[in-house]
Amino acid sequence: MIWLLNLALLMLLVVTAIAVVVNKDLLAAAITFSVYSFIMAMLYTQLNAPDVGLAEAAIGAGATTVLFIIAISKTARREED
Amino acid sequence: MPELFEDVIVRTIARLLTPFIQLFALYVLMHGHATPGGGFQAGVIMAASFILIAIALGLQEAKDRVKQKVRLPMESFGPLTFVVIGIICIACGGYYLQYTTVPLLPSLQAVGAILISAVEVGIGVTVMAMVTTIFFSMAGGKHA
Repeated sequence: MIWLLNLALLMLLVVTAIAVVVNKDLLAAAITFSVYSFIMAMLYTQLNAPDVGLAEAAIGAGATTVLFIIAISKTARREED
Repeated sequence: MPELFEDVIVRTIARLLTPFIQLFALYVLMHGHATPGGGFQAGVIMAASFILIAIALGLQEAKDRVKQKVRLPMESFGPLTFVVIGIICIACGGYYLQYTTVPLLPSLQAVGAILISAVEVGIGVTVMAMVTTIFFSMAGGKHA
């Protein structure tokens, strides 16, 4: 039954990836990107790579999101067409 | 950084949570050779605890906890550990970073574990200082 969890995670991964690209609100995109990283970390752990999963959870969901948010707070929040 | 978000719940939770995050970072560091983790991950988790302090309690508070004159030597500590341990291994008659040649203990595996842990500590300290410095210099302007 573990393939069901994997399927759900992978589908959620695709949805979040599309949401990051499509979203015009950059703050929401940064938060969604941290969700993407977290799902990716779960998938790495599921694929028997807990080392990579830990790094992804610490860096992807933790550090880079903060850096993105600082960059947004120094520039504009909305993307211009 | 925008102005400080004055909320007693956020500040208290951040202050309470910080030592546990740092303890987890030390756990990941010292068990890096046996369980998932290692120097890099531990350094990032340790830096995340300082980022949490900076977000919740203010940038100046975090800068006071890891001062620049402490961070700058820490950034060079990791490569120095690598070079020193590698050269010790060469001096004992092995290759660069061939841990098992060092006659520190009778058990070769114990020597390997100790020296790998020492290298991991170096990596962790360097990564912690570097990630914190990147965060401070992005958030704080001139005085990193």
